[in-house]
Amino acid sequence: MLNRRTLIVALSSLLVGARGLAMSTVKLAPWLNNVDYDRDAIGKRYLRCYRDEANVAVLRSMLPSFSLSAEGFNTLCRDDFSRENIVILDGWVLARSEARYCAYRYLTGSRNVT
Amino acid sequence: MLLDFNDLEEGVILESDICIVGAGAAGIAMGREFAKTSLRVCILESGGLNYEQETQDLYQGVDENLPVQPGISRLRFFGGTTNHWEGQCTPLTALDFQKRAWVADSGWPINYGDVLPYYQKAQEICGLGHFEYGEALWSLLSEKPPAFDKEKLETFFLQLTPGSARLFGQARREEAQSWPNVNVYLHANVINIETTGGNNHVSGLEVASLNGKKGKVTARRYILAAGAIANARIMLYSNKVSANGIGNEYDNVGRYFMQHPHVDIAEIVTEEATAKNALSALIGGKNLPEEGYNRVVAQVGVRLSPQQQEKEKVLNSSLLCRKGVPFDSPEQLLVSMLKRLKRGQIPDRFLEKLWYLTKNAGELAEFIPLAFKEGVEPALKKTSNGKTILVQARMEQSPNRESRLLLSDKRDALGLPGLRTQWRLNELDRYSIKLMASKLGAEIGRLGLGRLRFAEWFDSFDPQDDSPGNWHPSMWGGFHHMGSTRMSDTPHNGVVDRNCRVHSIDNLYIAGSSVFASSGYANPTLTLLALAYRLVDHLKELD
Repeated sequence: MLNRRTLIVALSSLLVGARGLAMSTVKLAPWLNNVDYDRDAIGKRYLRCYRDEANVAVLRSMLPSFSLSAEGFNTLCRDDFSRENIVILDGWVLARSEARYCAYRYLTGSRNVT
Repeated sequence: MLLDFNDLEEGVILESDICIVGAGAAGIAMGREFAKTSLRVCILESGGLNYEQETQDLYQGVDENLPVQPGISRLRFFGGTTNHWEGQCTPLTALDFQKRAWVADSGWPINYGDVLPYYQKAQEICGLGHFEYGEALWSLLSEKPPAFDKEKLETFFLQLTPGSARLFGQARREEAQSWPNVNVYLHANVINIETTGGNNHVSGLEVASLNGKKGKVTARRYILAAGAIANARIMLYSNKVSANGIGNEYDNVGRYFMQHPHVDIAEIVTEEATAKNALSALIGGKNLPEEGYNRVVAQVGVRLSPQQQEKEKVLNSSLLCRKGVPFDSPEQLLVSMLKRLKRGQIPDRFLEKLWYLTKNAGELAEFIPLAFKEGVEPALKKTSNGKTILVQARMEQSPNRESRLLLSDKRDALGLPGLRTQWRLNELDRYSIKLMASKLGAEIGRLGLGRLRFAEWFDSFDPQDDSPGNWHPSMWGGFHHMGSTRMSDTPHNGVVDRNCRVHSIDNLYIAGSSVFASSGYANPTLTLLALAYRLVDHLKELD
């Protein structure tokens, strides 16, 4: 019997799953792939510095959308930079969102997020 | 006329209307102006026409905190320190003259408008063009700067003094020879300032050469123009009447000593095309058009806007960009490690880094022979990967009473007390550099031009850590010595008044960057020249 609570959990799982799949399409600006930008190291450092976000669900809630194009992701980062919502990790001055994506990538072991 | 003090008779007494101590940028500029008057002027220069080691050794001193290196940073012969000047000119900004609530002891007793008319004159002696250093200059160039948020970052220019004018000693030697009423005495060192009237009036200068020749100069007015280190030192060791020296009733002589911290702090990591296009405007020399600028070359810097300085409560600071190799490249790592070892420090993670260098020795094959042949910096430039842009900070130092020059117990060849330096930077200085870097990082990211990456040492740089070891060993003060006889409204917090006259002495004036009350980020020569011209006008009015 499908009660209301089960329905909500199921729908939530579907949504999360869909977002997880969509996240595999997220790409950083192409040039970032050509530079020494260790996503795992950044992700690991972010989690160490912001322990209250060291959780997949929390990180998901912090990231506005998982269905961004590369351009959309860049816009998100630029907005962060514009508002000086930045973090400095391993010396890199990064938009908060890109650091969170690195953290999510590290935490989930997903290598599809480039 | 150029004369040698050694050729004069023993015990000579030279009389003049005005006596200037020091034939560097300020001394020569003032000499040229006084040559247009009927005043009898004598200029005392410690050195000769060329470098002499024995004279240079009079500058030897001991650095007791961060590096000042007086023995190599100042030069002691006709032309003074312009003899190794790179010629970079840019003015102080209006804000630099103002009292800033967030910067202790900031503010001059004069404002930007008081100096502005003299900047153009300073441009002339430096062989520069129009007095224009702001973003208006971009309209003359084909390149455009990155579209920084003007509320945060601005670009500015430095004009480079052409070689023909840069070395004042060479450029003005022939001219000085023909000055009818201005005599320059070489090898003439001031060993004491004699005073009367309770230390309130200079009656003469005792002069000696390293050959043992002695004499005296009397004048109606005296101007110390020997540089920010020697001006203070002469006042401190002229202590026959008062143990603290002259003009030092409130213990301000030698204090508030400032330099501009120069250090590579970060790199902009970008793609080659961006380095060549969008960011290239920030790199290298720009040829300004002939009309009005004499084909002067300019360089570009980035600074915090005045609004941003006020909002963030930080100092006025600048960043300059150049192409280079990444900080974590074997080349940079090798240079950085050697610098630390030269200072007697063991680099962090020494063995790990040594292993990394050994593993990547092949990448050093091009660099090492090139560094031996052409020097480290040119070699780093040549091995650049084309997509790394290094960012150098050139920072304002806040006025700091504890940053100072003192006399030592050691004596120099003239029997005068030597020098001890205690160059100190404070938390605001260190915080400002870090904030400035993160602002640039945010703007580079916002514009999609790449990412800023701090150098490893800068990443762990702690604004609260006062120890010299907090800084990278390559950090230096740009040889920009300022503030040891600062300008102030009252003698309680400075040495000279708004007309550059020593507060407590009715006929002693000071020219040069030692009168700077605050330092901005601007290379000091253009401003010290402007202030020297302003002083000449003031003294002409008094006559």
